[in-house]
Amino acid sequence: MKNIILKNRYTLLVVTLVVYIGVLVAEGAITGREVRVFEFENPFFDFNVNNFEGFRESRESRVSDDSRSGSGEDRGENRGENRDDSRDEDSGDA
Amino acid sequence: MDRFKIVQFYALLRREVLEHRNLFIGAPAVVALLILVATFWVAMQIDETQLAEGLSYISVLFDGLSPFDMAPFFMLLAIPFMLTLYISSVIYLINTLFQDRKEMSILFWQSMPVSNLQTVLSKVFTIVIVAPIFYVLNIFAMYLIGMILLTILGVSNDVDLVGIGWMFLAAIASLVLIYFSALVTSLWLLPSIGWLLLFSAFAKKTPLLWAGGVFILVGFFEDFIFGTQYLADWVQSRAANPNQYLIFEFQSLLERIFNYETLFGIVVGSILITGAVYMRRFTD
Repeated sequence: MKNIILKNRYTLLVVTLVVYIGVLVAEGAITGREVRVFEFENPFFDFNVNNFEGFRESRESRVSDDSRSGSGEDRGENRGENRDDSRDEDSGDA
Repeated sequence: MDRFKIVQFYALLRREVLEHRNLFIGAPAVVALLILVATFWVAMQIDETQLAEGLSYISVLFDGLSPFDMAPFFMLLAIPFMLTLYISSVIYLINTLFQDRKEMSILFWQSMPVSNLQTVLSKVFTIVIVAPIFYVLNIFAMYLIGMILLTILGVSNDVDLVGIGWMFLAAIASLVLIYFSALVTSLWLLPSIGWLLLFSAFAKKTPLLWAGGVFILVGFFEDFIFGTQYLADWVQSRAANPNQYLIFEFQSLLERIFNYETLFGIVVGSILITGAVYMRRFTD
């Protein structure tokens, strides 16, 4: 067995990578590992890497609401309300 | 461990530092010099009375406060050094075993009474323990020069310098945080260290390309064979959030080292480092 593993550099590399992946997959399956995402917390928008589609949809709906609401000043004033509305919609969907 | 083994290992570490002094001593020295020159240039733009007012404000701010509580403020100044350390570490790890084979010095070292395990461990030890020491020493030298300049400025403008002394103590306390942050980061990223060493020992040409290419391929095969993405999840969970390995308070030091994620990372990294040790027998 040792002779086969150490036959040449390629067999050694493959065996090392198989052990590495095997340990990772086994540990991931046992512990139910999930990706630990980077949540960018800020007062302007909600961003979660796991829910990128949701972020895009909420942003698009916010932009369309803004364009409907008229002038630039109105957009600035209504931004907070719209954000709250979109949050409510999201939570309602969920 | 007998005395001969310790001397042997010390000699290996010394060799690593001497061969890569540009990465471990030169690079942080250049960063420190750039920061000092930039600070000096900014100070030259400000009126001296305003500078004295700012200095007295800082002096009051730090006066009497615990240096250990104020130490995290100085972690910001260490960010350029930490980034330089990470970049230097990648350059060092991907080239070190590859260079040995390329210039055939591996034959010389294998003729010496030094095992492959000792050689590879000396490289890991250099990155985890030794390199951060040189970076911290450079930061200390930068703080010292900065404090001397501040003291001269304070004396010439009759500013109370007691607070500046407290600030210097906080800066010194931050050096401990910076060193242990670098240490914990190395342990946390030990799988990456093992991966780079493995391909440094494996590749006949372009080790960085091999390391990156095989990583993508292995992720693809895992998805194809097992239908899982644990490798990608594992890497993302370890690399995405620096708060997992940077230390901002002394209380969290032991907790950061002795937790499941760090210890499992050390186990996984050890598999790859073992592969690199065995890979060194192929000298061509």
